[in-house]
Amino acid sequence: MISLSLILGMLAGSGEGAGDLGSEGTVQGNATFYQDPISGAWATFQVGLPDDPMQYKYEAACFDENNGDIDCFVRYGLECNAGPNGRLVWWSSALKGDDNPVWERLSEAPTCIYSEDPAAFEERLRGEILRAFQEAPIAPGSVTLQPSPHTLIGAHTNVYVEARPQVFEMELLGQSIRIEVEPTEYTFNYGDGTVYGPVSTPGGPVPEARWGEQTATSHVYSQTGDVPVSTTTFFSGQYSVNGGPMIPIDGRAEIASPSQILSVWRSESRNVADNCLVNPSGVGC
Amino acid sequence: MPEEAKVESKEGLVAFARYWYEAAAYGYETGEVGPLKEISGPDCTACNGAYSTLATWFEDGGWTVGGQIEVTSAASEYALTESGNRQALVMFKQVPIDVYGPEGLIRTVGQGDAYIQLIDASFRDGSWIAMDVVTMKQMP
Repeated sequence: MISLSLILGMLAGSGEGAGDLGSEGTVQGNATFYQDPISGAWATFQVGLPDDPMQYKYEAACFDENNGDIDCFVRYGLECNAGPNGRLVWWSSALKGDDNPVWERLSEAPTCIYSEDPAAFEERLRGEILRAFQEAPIAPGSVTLQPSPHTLIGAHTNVYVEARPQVFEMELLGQSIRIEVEPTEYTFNYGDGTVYGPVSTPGGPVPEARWGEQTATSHVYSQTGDVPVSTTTFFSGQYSVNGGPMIPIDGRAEIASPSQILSVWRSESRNVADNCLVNPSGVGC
Repeated sequence: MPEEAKVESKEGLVAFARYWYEAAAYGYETGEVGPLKEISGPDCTACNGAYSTLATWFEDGGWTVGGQIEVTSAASEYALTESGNRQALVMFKQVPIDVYGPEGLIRTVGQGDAYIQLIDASFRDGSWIAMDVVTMKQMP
């Protein structure tokens, strides 16, 4: 599997426009970056926990030591009157770990925050959003087995997941929050002790005429019996506050799909001389 | 290399990271990758990609216009990796590169995109070496 994804990655990277330093540095395959919480070191995985190398914040716009700048309000034609204590803020980002961060604004115009003390409120809001993301009623991916509910020992059984991006709108601490999630990785538990993943491919359907052929996510059972087949889909998310820019959420949500029982059968072929009427005790009668 | 980039410290590493992009940009502007090779390890992803791309562009009288690199921001948490390297993050933009051959303009590469790259560096014999440089993210 690793060699397959490497080949795909190389093909994808060889298109027109490749060659600048940024594309030359792109790790082939589907590498994501993960920051170890203890050492702070970044590591790549072919798949894994996506963390963002940026930090984010907002700061008051059109305000100078609590004095509103009327010209500034007029320039953006914005009023934060959807709730009490509305303030205009700029969202911006900078590299993590920078001692003198270079903050760059993430949007052309400021957006609103509703709080008496927006600065003190930022960390709390971030915590609430992370919790909302982890607890969001994200619809699991739907799992299809080919063939199902019976399959044959020694043949490839195709398993694939269909999961879709989802949007959640909610009110948190007086702010209107939009959370967008998208499926990024999948784990396949074939029920016989074999687990594959997390991988970035959800697999896909094969036409009935080709059932039994190997696919990226197929599995060969070596014993008969009933097995529970299940998958887990990992979603990464981003959020926006009161219509502001989208900010990535560190970490991901794990959503399990309900398991399906698959019966693995043995098939045998025998040559027989008579039909069952002639020889009722013959094989298969 | 500037003196502050030869110091085994967080500040030294950040200075080295900035210098590394000067050497890389020099390669893109001239086809000369010697200065970049001198400060990079043999298994560096972005370096090896750039060497082979530049060799193709500059063979048989080819040349480039553009390719200058502006480092927007460079930072390090001075984190130690399992293989004993120190890490720095760099955000940069590269001017699109016009690739010319004897017949004229062949193509333009890049769209002035901003990227974040991760440098894994090791301090050896009084100098930093970029063991690996990989792209973490292309900015929207």
